[in-house]
Amino acid sequence: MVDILTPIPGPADAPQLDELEGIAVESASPTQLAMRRYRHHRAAMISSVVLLLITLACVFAGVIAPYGENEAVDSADGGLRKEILVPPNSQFWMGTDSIGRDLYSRVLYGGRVSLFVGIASAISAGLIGTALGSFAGFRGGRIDNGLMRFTDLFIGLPLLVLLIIMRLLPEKQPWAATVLGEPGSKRLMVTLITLVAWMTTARIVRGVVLSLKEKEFVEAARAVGASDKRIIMRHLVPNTIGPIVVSMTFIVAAAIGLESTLSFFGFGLDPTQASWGNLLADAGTSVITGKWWLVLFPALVLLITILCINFMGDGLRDALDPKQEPQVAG
Amino acid sequence: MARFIALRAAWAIPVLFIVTFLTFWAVKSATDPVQSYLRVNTRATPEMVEVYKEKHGLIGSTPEQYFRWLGNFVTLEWGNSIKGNRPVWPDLKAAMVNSLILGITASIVGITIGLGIGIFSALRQYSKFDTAATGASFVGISMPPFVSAVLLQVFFAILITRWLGLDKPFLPVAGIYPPGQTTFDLGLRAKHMILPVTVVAIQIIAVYSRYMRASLLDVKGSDYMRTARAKGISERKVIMHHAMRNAMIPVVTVAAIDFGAIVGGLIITERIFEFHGTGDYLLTALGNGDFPQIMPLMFVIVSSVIIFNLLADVTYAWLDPRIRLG
Repeated sequence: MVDILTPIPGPADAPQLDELEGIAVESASPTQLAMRRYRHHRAAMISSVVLLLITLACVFAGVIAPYGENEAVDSADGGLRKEILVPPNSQFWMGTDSIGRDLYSRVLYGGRVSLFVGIASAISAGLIGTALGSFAGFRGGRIDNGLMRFTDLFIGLPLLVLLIIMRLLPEKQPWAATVLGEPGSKRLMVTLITLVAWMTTARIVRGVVLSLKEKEFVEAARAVGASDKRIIMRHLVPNTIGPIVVSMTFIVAAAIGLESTLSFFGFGLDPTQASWGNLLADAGTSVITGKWWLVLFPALVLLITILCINFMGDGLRDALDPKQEPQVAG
Repeated sequence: MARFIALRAAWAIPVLFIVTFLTFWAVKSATDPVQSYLRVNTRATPEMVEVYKEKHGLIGSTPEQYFRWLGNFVTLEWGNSIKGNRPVWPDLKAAMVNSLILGITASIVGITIGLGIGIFSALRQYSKFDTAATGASFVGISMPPFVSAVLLQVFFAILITRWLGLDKPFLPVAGIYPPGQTTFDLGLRAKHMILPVTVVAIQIIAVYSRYMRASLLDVKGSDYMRTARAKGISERKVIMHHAMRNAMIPVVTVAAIDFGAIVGGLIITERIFEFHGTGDYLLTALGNGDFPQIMPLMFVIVSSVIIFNLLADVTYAWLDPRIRLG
């Protein structure tokens, strides 16, 4: 990791300030310094490229995928038969499933949904966590104590059990379908994951705000008559943006994992919707019958995606926040 | 210290009531016992429904129902399941025994290996071992337990078996015993536990090794370590007495946080490997909307979480005097 104080050689076209030899240090904004630190994190750089490729492939699935999301491919020798359970070959890179759909195409289409759920959940959980954390840290005292005890308790709960029970609510209670989302919808998935994913952000933001609020610039803001709301929104939150972005990155990874876990057990998205979890759920019994590709490829794509996002989070943390202690994702 | 424990325990009691009440409300809303009863007993008359509600305390407001349920729970009158009308306790007991065997074995294996890797990595920072272990723990943390479970199944049930040309799976991938086995057999049981224990342990190893490494590295750079060495204490003693005791403090909190994750991991693992434990029990009961089966287990899980939080607080205070005196 590169220390902030050490001058880092800049790009060749940067303004040369070496007229005062030995004294001049080339200036760089904190953002530039962070970018440089990020580029030095090899795993994060490789992960960024891989993730970019996966994301592009999923976003442009309509163009890239050789077959449709739910298209059963007709057998080459004509007739009414479909290409059922074909092992991977040059035509079907990841093989086909039990009704003759191309797995590679389905992995790409499924990725759209999985990535969407991950990113949407991270944004909303990050917002809730930031709001709660900055409020607790700024107010301090009893409110802080109560909120943080609540957060700690929440972290300890078996979130999977909580998610499954909440997932059943809209099926039984009409009000829950209105508030949380229809069973099997993406909205329900994002809402539920948000409800169990805000805690890490809240704790981190609270910690940073707790130390920042004693700083001179907050005192100065107060002295000129800024309201609490203004101090939080304009002075404290912008200074915690680094840790917030880092924790949101880890939430994306965790949310993709949760979505696929829930879908795998039939508590997630509508089973007709291709998502990485649903693809694995479809593959469920094929392990016993020896159709390994149906499990292996979706599982590997899922694992690689989560791994890349976590590596990026790690790189971002080192880049934005060189002094922070390591945290564990998910 | 006694005062500290008493204060924390006093705080835990209202929390227990509030959290179990919320659980009761959520589970009842999510399963709807009356609807489930009607689904199983399709020809039940309105009178029979009334009798059922009366018998299971499903009348009155939710708080009333909760306290009536709690009374029955405490007096061990756990009632019968909706589907199949079986007594709840024997099934739940059998499931909990299996889960505990799996959970405890995996925890012992996982925590021992995890702490060992963490300590070794920290003592040899930037060595080849450290790099490999850090990378591996990153993969472990990124892998949802169901993915590691299905990948292990694919490898052990299909690929390895095929490569070795065996006619039976290399390792059993489902159940507690082979079909037909009714008597206790330690060897077979152990063989069926290898893969489930591996899945749960991977999670534990990844989390504990990361925390242990970070925490020990943090302690290693501190001044009191240098002072201890300057006094001429042996390196072994410096590590064991000065470094380890302080490095364990943050790791203890992980135990409380990780408990919920382990329960989740157990549920996933048991379902995939058809290991008849609480996970299998819970998912089946949830599928049937079987409230009398679900709620006692939820109560046990939720109170364990609260007890673990309390234990972590107390251990933390015992290891770090600043907390109990501050």
